[in-house]
Amino acid sequence: MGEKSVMALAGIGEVLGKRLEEKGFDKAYVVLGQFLVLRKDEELFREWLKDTCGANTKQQGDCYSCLREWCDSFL
Amino acid sequence: MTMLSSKSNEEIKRMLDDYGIKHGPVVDSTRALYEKKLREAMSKHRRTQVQSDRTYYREEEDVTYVQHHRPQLYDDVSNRTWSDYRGMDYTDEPAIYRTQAPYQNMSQARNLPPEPHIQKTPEKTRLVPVWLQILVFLIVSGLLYLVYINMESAEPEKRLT
Repeated sequence: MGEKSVMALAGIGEVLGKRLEEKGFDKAYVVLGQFLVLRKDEELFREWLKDTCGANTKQQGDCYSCLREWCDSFL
Repeated sequence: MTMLSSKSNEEIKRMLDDYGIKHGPVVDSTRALYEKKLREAMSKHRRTQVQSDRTYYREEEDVTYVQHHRPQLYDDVSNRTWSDYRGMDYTDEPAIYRTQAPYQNMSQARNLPPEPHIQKTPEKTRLVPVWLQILVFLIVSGLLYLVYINMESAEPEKRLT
């Protein structure tokens, strides 16, 4: 994951990425951090993502799956 | 009015536990999310609390109040039966709420039998509708009665000699 931008995450494009950056989530690992603090819970993470950058259901799901898989593999 | 934003992280955590909301640590980045969830839970809790209080107070002032709030409350209860009664003449309904004995009214107000019943029961979502339970009970008792009748006829009649 390294220093990749938040837009490297699945479901996060330019628009959502910009919104996340404005809220301080400028790197993928910061969103990962938030994912972990929410205990990797799907419902909580989806709700948080929706509230923070306005992600729709598909985008929420993609981002969650992406982070979930990364954690399953590397954490 | 509780000011959630003025509460400490620890207090927010405790409130989340009280409402049974699953959560992670309450930190700066998760605070806003949990405050929102608490606000939703509080308003929902307040709404169901007020509604259940209303079932015990049948004062005239509450009549119109109940009518307005019913659509919100009975969302989980089968909408099928409820929409049937939306078209009903509202002048009939206040009669049910004014009297003190709702169960007596059940026989009198035949046009709206389920209403006092729905009001009496606590506002919990039912997995199995009440009418179905009663029906099953009647079927089972009917079957038992049939079995009993058959057993009676199988025994030879005893005489007191």
